[in-house]
Amino acid sequence: MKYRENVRNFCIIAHIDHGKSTLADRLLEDTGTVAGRDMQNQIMDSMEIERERGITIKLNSARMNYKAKNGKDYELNLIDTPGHVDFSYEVSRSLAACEGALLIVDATQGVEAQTLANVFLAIEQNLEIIPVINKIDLPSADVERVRQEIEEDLGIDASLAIPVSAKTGEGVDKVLEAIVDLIPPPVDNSDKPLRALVFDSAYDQYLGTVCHFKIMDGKIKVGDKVKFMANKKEYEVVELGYQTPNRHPVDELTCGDVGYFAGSIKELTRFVGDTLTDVENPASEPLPGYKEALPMVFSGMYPVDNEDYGDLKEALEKLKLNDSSITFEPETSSALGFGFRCGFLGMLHMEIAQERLEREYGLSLVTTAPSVVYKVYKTNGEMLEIDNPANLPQSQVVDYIEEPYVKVQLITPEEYVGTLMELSQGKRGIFINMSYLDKTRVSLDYEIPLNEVITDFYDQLKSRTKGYASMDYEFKDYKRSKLVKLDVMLAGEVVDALSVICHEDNAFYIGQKLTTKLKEIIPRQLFEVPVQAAIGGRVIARTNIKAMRKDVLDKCYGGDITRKRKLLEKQKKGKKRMKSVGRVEIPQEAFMAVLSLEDD
Amino acid sequence: MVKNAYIHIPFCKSKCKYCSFISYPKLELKEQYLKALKLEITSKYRNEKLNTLYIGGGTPSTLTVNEIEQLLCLFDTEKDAEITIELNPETMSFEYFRGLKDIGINRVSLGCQTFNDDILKRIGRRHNSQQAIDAVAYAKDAGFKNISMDFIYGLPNQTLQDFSSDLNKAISLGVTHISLYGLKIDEGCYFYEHRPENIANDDIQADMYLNACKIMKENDFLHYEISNFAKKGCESRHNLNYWYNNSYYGFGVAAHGYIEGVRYANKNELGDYIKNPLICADEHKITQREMLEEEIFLGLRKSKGLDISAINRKFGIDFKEKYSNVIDKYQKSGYLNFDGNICNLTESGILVSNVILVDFLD
Repeated sequence: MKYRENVRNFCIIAHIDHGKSTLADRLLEDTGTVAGRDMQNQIMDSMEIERERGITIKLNSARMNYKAKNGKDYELNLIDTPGHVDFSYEVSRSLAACEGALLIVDATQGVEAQTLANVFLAIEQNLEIIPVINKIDLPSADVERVRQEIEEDLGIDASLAIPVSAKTGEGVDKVLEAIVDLIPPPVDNSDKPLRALVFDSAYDQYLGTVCHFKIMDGKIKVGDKVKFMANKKEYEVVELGYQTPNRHPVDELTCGDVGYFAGSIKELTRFVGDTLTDVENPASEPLPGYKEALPMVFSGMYPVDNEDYGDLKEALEKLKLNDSSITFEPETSSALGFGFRCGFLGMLHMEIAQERLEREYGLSLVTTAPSVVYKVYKTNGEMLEIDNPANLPQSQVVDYIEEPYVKVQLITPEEYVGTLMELSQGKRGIFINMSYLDKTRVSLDYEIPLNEVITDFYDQLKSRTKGYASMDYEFKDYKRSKLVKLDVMLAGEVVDALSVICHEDNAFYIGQKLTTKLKEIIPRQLFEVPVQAAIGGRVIARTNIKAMRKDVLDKCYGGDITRKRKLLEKQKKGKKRMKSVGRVEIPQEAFMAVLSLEDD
Repeated sequence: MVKNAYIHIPFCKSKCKYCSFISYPKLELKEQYLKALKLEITSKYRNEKLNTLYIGGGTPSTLTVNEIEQLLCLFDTEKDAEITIELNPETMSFEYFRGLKDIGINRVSLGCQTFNDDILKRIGRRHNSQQAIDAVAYAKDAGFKNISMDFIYGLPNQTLQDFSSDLNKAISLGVTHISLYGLKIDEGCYFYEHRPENIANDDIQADMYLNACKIMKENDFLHYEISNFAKKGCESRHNLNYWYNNSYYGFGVAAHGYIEGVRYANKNELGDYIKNPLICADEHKITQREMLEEEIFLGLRKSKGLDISAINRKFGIDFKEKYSNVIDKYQKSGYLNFDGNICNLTESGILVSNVILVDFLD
């Protein structure tokens, strides 16, 4: 078999905060791909939100030219991967385009639950894994302990693990050498018909839809007619190139290369996971498919202003192009009007999607509290899948309900085992297993209803363990539960978008907390607003938001009318961000109130 | 034509703890400031005969009668012009009032705030209740017929009864005009950083306000504007000019003016202003939409409210049709009166007027 001897395709896998983006920055700098003066931190993370939150959400790739110590020139393609539990699907897409992976472990933190999960994904893809122990410049770094953890927890030979400080640059040269020495080059099938794996697509206002791919077989040239094998659509290659991470157009790319192409693709279709081939000389079989990630949490997204419905639809279509794991379909709410029920991988994913819609598309949105998909078995034998609590049928016609459980793995220093067991049990968790990973670290396995995990489990986990524990979860199965729908009434009217499905035993507690929370969040109106929680028409909790008594600008300020105008305009703006439901103006965060009942 | 002028005197010997206005204790800059102020006035004022002239602060009584006279003589005024000065009761004497009267001032506004000496101390006022009482007596003796007093309600430890007795006291002293302001702790004041205990919340302030309205009514004061009450004929013509959305000059540091459809603000840093009093910090040409909105949100401050046919003529609109939703909504709930010619806020509407005014903004 022939190989592209001078090409290496690799990705970086790491737990959040372990320094993936910093190492990527350093590699780009050390290979001269990005000059020091053009360097900004986290250069791979092109989205504003990514830089702000210090996380990577969307994939990006970069080609680096590197002259190795053996005197030969290499082309190193780095494919960046997201580092959060919500985005394991995106991780799997980038892994499939690589031959090797750098596994970064924080020398002060050690192996965490999510690292485990991603390493197993990489092993499944047969990637060569190079362990890198980062942050050795920190005083609390313990390289030997971490080395041992990598061997014991991950079963990876850690004798070759490279200690580095991505911050200071120490050891980075060794990483570059290891990439060349250890990661296998891609196979050279350039004489076969074209097959390229699309691992990302994004919409560009000038180029249209841009697809990012890795060529597994064959070649691609500007002017070629290409076809997506699953989608069946054909396009001409108008622009072809690689990223550094800026775009560099070229005339041709060949087997083993990572690149992008634009073909005046106007449709907002999904290409990720598809195989690109040549129209004239097509491959007979597409590449093996990607693992499809299924959205696990669903929430309603509604424009604050009903007139923005069309804009929201368009924005979601564009967003889906570069975040294919989002699903959406139209729904209506009597309280919120026309909107979409959207599916997300997890809570962070949902928050980021909302933030991007608001920031990048200038929309003002109301997002309802997330729900999981319930299986509702009716007395007539029919089964309904319900992802919106408002749609739960009347209890008379319901035989029983099943809810999704996830297998949750928690890794924690042993002193927090007690509090995490308490947390898991409080969330209706079923204890499965506990084992010591080493002398001080414990792995706890539970099966917990997903609904409980998405509310505030992660936040609670972090606050109870001062951030030391980590978690990972995957779908387990559906189990029968005693669930009820809790409705919320404001000023006597049921607000469907505030309904929640919860366990019968918790309903009273949640009703109390939720009404109290809503009272805090919803500003006083010109009239008194009773806030009630009810199950099937029976009120179980009630409080009142007193009427607003005084809101007046009384001072004259020596003729400073502009100041008065600004104050009123500010108030107007605040009001515009609220959703009118009946006579009551409700701020956006009220619809998420159920997620933060434990705050105080 | 501009018929009204405001002059700002930024000096205060010390800053009251609830005050977030710009003021300077540096009296040594007074001379330079007055020089700059005169330059601004002589450069911008176009010798209109003024209906009202208002010297506010800060503390205008940090100026001597002579210094004030030198400012007044720069202006031409109508025979019946209203010429007001704001005073701090701290340093008042009969002679000072006599002097003010002699140079043509015919209205004084005393920053009394409360007659409760404990509270006065707590909020950092320099005067005590006796000085306020004396000041009214001196003013009357000096021949002032139009005397206004400012009060704040919702002060630390102030009860509803305290506030009522403040008002009754002022009425018994024979003042003709009273302004009431609810304590509001804005960024920049001492209380913002050192929040006092025992201050009234909005609900209690609302009760205090409504109680005050009752007291004022019983004593034949007209509630002619959100925060102002006056004996018939003693309404502040200067302030009403703002609410009628008419033009006015603003002279001095941080002063605001409105001339030929342009709202402007002077520099609000004393040094900057003294260096060049003719450069504005901000100028904004009011659009037609903004002018209409301002006409509405200023006009609704007056108990007389808006003259609908005048607005329709001025802006070429059908007010009733344009704002039918807003009118309907608030008329039904008893916050707004509308009879086709007049549109005004009810007493309960005044208290929540921001909520209503916001709906008139586009």
